[in-house]
Amino acid sequence: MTFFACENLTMRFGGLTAVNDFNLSIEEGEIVGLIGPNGAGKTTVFNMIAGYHRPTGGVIYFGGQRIDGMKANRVNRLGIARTFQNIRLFPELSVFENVLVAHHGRLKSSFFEAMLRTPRYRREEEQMYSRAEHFLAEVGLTDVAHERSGALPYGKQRRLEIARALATGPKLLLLDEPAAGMNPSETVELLELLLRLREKYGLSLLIIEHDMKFIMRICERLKVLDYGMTIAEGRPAEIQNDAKVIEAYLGEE
Amino acid sequence: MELRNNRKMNRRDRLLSLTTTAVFLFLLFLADRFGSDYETRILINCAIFIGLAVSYNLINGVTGQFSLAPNAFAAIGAYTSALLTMTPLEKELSFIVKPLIWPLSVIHAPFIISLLIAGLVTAFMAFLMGFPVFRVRGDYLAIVTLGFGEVVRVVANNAQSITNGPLGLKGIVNYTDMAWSWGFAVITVFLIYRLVQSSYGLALKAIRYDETASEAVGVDTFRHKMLAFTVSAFFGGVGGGILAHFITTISPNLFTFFLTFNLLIIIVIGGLGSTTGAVIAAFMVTLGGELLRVVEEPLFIGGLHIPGIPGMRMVIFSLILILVMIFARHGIMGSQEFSWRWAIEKVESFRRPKGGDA
Ligand SMILES: Nc1ncnc2c1ncn2[C@@H]1O[C@H](COP(=O)(O)OP(=O)(O)OP(=O)(O)O)[C@@H](O)[C@H]1O
Ligand SMILES: [Mg+2]
Repeated sequence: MTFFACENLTMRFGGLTAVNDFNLSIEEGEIVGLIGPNGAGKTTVFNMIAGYHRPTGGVIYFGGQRIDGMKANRVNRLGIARTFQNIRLFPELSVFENVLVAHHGRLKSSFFEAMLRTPRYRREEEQMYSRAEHFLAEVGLTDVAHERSGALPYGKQRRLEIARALATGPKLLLLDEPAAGMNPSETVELLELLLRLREKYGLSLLIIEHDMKFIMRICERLKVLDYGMTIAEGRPAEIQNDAKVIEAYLGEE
Repeated sequence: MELRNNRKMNRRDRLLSLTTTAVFLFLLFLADRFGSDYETRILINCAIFIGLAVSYNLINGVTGQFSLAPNAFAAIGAYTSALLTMTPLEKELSFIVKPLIWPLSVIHAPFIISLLIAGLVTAFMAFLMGFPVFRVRGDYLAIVTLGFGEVVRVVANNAQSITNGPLGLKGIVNYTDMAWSWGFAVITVFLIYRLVQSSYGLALKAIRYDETASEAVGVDTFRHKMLAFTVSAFFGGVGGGILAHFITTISPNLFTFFLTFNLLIIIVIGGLGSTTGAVIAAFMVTLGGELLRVVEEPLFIGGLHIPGIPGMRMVIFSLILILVMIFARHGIMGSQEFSWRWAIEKVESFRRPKGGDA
């Protein structure tokens, strides 16, 4: 059984084909990179996988079932979590609450039990608190737990978004430009963090990133998109020397 | 330090809450025993508005879905419960144009049962309305609920064999006293506050701030919006029932958009999303409304006769609303809730000497 696979994924917006005939399979524990110039269709691929766009064509398999066209919250509960290119925290909630809410999707108690605070609900709440504390510590944000998340500096917001995604208990994590806006030392920390999390939680990662040094170092395999088409794929060293990739990137500048 | 402590009630908090509630209920008891009829009526009014505002705030404030239906919900609750508590004989005498349809004509239920059914019927209406609206993200909720209010009014006016048309229902038993009204308010506030403080409340707030991100963390936004809307409608319907048995006469024109407008003012002044704020503002607006009655009555100042201007209170309330929107957009409480920890920290920050020379 394949862990994760997309077959012939296509997404058209009116006359624009944002993603064309995209194929990808990911093994458990693998780290795959998705790169390409601006507007290549990378985020659109994420949106289809995570349940935000119903693909115009093609199928997506995850854990032995088809997930294309499923609603985003269901995809998440099946074990795919994502972060957003332009960070989407709940700015008015505290850092701690941002991670707490990520456990809500797995809650078994009904709202009625929550209102009455039945023993089962309380047990689940305890668990929810422990998990949130745990994941905040994991990304090193314990000391700012009670701050408003919207007030955090950029780098910490990125890490919080990762903690929140992690707290939903994914097997596959989709990261949309996680290093964007980070300085070099933050980027190195992020790289170490992601590798550690992958080991510890047996995650697979699919990462979109423009920072070439970062993506070449972290990924085992890369896919290159340009105008929705896959123009290259392979190990980082192969991609770096691929004529089509160089042209796509240079042609843009 | 364990992070969770900030969100949890400890023994001290629970004791403080119980004591305060007990003291408050005792004060109400005193007011009931020794207050004038007029004063108790105002307090009952307060209680009803607290319950209605807090339940309205759940959908509009906490979840951020702009509903304009609370008047319609109150109307459904009022009619449902009144039709259940009136005796078959009263109903036969009231429905002179067209007889009331069976089985409503023979049913006779105790007050508490009628309230629960009123709540359930109203919640069911909200469920039917929410289903199509929240499928498309809820952007049309305001329009649909506004339309629904009109539909309810038209039905109340025309479905004579159920609502008695424009004549309305008269001679509803005056069950609602201090105990019932405040019982309603306290239970509503307690349950909704707990819901808001729970994991569910967190999910509802998340939806308010960012629906897309909520879905990404596994929150079924459709289900949760439905939940907030139906729970809000349930308590709104019960509140309507309480109201009907307080004023004892209901008619289609009682539940106009003014009721919704009043509640909207209350939750905005209180701070959208704050249950505490809704309670405080409901108190202020209801009492304020009574005090402001003066401006609508003719006045004699130093021999000068100033005629009263009916509707002046509404003008003043609207002005207050506009001022709040401009100068204090977050209302009294923002989206904060009262907690003992918060209160104690506030008090201590007052006591602490200012200027850092501590
Ligand atoms: N919802 C949408 N409706 C219409 N067009 C869209 C939509 N989403 C994306 N597009 C278009 O699809 C193309 C691919 O966009 P996408 O965001 O996937 O690119 P990207 O590779 O993530 O680019 P970047 O590196 O700038 O983030 C773009 O031309 C974009 O304008
Ligand atoms: Mg993108």
